[in-house]
Amino acid sequence: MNPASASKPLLSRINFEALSIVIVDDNQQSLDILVQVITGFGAKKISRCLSAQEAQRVLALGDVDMVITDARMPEMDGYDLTRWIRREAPEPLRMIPVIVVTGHTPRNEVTKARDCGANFIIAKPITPKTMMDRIIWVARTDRMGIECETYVGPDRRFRREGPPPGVDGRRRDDLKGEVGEPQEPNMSQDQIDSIMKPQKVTV
Amino acid sequence: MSVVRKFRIQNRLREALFDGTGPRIDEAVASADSALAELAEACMGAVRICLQEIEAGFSSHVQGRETRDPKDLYEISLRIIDACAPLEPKALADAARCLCDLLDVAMETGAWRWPAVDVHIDALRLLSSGVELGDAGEAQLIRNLAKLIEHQEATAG
Repeated sequence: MNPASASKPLLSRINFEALSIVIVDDNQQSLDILVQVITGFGAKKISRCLSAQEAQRVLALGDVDMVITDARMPEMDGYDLTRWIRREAPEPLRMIPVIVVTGHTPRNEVTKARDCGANFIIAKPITPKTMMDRIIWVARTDRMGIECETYVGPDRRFRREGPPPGVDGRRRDDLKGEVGEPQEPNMSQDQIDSIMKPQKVTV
Repeated sequence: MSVVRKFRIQNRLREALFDGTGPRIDEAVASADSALAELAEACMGAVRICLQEIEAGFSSHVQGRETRDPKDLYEISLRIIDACAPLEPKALADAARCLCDLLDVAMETGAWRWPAVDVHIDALRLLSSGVELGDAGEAQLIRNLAKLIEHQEATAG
């Protein structure tokens, strides 16, 4: 990428035409909504999948630039699909951007999305502006990749929140990663953003 | 201690999206808004079906509703949230999300209070009926639902 253009706060033109995007949702209506939004952005190559298994088959063929998946699906959910992509998908796809969408976003869901290696979680109902904001953010942000025994995915350490689950901390003040089921209310998109990203992109 | 490998991710998405061609970002968003609006009627139909399922299985006149699995109501609420993308008022999705919060608390604590569920069902009915509450009225309604959930959490613990 041209360094001069990279330094601009926001590039004004955006081209989805060349992108190959896999969209996964077991709810036909919800899948239609996601496809309609991404098609509206100008995307031409969209693979619609009604299950994570179907998405795995598409991903195995390669040549995918981004995955947008629902979180809650029977048998294999969006978090498991993301973990599969990060650990078992064909090599060039392992670090492709994965955006998880979900209707209900209590804190444990957001943390789960972050810890499975997703780049972002978006609360439904989907709005084109929110989707565009997040895609731009994912595209414009250089996050390092991390691979260790318990985690594969983009670096999660935007904020000081201790070591990942199952890992003993390396700092004196690190707490154990054992966390009980949260009893907190649903998180707003702003609260999700504060966990999942360090900066905002305004369209 | 596990070995951690740190590496630079090749960002193909950025290269493809920002090649200097294509519509302006605001135009792309407007185009997606228009595309989404085409689904409004179908989505409203989906919301109506969800509300009918709630009426038939979980409203106050249904005998034996106590025996139903609360997860079913949770799933219906999620379907309402899904379908709300192209719909107004936005508070309809918020009310469905409040119902999910309430059911979460109920399922986690075992403190099941049907009057609180009924209030949420009433709110969904009202918001989907087309009655104009105005922004302030809708915000107040959602605040009240949130208070109900806080109360449920406080008294359950």
